[in-house]
Amino acid sequence: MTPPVRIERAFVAPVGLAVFGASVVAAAVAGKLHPELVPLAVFTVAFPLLWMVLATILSYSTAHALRIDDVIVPTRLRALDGFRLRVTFGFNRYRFPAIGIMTKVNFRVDDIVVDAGPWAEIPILETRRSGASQWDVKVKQRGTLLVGPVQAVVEYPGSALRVTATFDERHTITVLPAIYELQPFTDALLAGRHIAAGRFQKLPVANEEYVGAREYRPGDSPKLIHRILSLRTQDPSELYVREFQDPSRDDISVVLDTSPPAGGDPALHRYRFEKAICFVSALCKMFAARRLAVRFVCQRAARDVMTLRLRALDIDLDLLDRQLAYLELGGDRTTLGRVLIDEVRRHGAAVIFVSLRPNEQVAQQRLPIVTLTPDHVPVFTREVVSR
Amino acid sequence: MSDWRRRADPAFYDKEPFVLRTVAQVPRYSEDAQAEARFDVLARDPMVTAATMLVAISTCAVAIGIEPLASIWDWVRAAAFVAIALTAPFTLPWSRHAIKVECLVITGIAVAFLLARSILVAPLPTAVALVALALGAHGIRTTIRNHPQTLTWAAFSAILATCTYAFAFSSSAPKPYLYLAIAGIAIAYLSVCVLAGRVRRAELIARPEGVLSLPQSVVPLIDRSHHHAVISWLA
Repeated sequence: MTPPVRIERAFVAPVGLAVFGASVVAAAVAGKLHPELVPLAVFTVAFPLLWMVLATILSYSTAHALRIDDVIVPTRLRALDGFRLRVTFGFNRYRFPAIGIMTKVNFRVDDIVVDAGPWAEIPILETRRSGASQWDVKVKQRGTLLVGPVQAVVEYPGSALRVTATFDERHTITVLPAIYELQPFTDALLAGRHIAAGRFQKLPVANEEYVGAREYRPGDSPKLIHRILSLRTQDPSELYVREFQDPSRDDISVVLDTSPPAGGDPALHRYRFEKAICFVSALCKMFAARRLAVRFVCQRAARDVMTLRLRALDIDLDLLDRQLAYLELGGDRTTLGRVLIDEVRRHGAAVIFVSLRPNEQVAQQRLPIVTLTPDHVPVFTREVVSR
Repeated sequence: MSDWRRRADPAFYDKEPFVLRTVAQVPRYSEDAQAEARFDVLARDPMVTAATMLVAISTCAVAIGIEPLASIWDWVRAAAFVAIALTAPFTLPWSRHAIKVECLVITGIAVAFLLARSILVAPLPTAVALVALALGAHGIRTTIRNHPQTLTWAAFSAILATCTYAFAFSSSAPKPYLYLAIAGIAIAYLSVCVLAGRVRRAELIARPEGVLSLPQSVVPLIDRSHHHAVISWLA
């Protein structure tokens, strides 16, 4: 049970109140001049005054007696996804039920504050009972969504005061990036990447796993020849070799560009960055789901390069989303170039570079990597799906 | 369709944020739109019309009955009150009646006649009351649009002002009349209570069902609804 931390009072329509006050004085003076009309004058003046006083006292005491019993809010959700916010109010007073309570909740994302409502009404709240206000909230920006404080306004008709009770209920929701649904042909990004990279290890080691067979290529160790499969072929000169894979080694490196492009519209860069983040998230999930070891690399800030090794485990993918939720455009091109070269030097891994620039620099073009510019992202994606 | 546009028009990706910003719908009433919706609800509410007429008729009846109808001028005064009682409910800000202008004119003439009579008897208090009335009417007219609860205070003030006028010119009132007058004023006040409740209902009906954050350019992904960080609406 959370009581209000602050009670604010504001006059309702001061102009109307002033006119009413002047009318009351005038009627009282006019009535006093005629003693035979005193009962009528008293009634005429007393009725609205008593009503106003009663309504004002009720408004004030109702606001004081309100409590928040419960707030149902998730701890995390995806951008473009929604949730139902439910705030349960209790009423801790012995007599007179509360009528027409207007409630609202403030939302904040970064420097954007939504404090205009919408106002949800609790028509009547019996004594010692509870009533709930509900809102559907859709969040579109990743990061942190702050929910709260909660406000309840009580203003009985005829009350001179509009009384606002503020409850210090604050909840933090982590908004993860939204998900792209990728096209089935996104696999094409990996076409030829493993083969082209070649193998440095000639013989399997203890921790490598057999993953399949392929045609013999000059340079392959004869010890790897798959004898049974080779004998089955029609052509005696056609040989097959066994392929092994080290589960501890990364199959794919996904590098995200976090350095803001020079010039141009900052809003457009920001927009592209948001798209790139969601695309990268979907890409990593797709590869991880296919039991490929994914290494995600990006620069968070100056001298802060983040590396995540992702497997098809919820905990890994969740960690990726949480990191992406707070990622900002804090990289620089020098570090990015060094990161890309490091990733290329990692033997066996295919490198996918998600860039924010329509045209990459010559240095990046020379590297044996797949570069995805903002123009490529829509090709591999369908409509946004929120889950 | 949008998917096709993206494929057919390579530049759509660059144009997309601006295109989306252009077509964004903001389903929030502005203050003006809210006031219009509220007035619309009040205009279509028969209880508001009935309560307003009841306030006007019962108050004017009290004012007419407080003085004996002895001379021709008393009958003219009574006619002025009757005119006010019949036309005033149609002069309210939300009134959509075709005869609103005519009613305003008739009410104005009737009020002018009553004030003219008052000026002849007591010039200074009437002048002060006239200035106060003009200021009050102007203030209420400007605030009632965005603060409809002002209507409660305006109705109370109208009843009190009419009673003040009636008291000022009253010579002697018989006891049975006092009871009738108290009953009439009570009816008028109870009608104001009903009015206050209906205004509250109109406020609730006209309130926006949802709000959006401030428009912004940073939007995650291709979403065709709005460019807003947070959207909240009533469940």
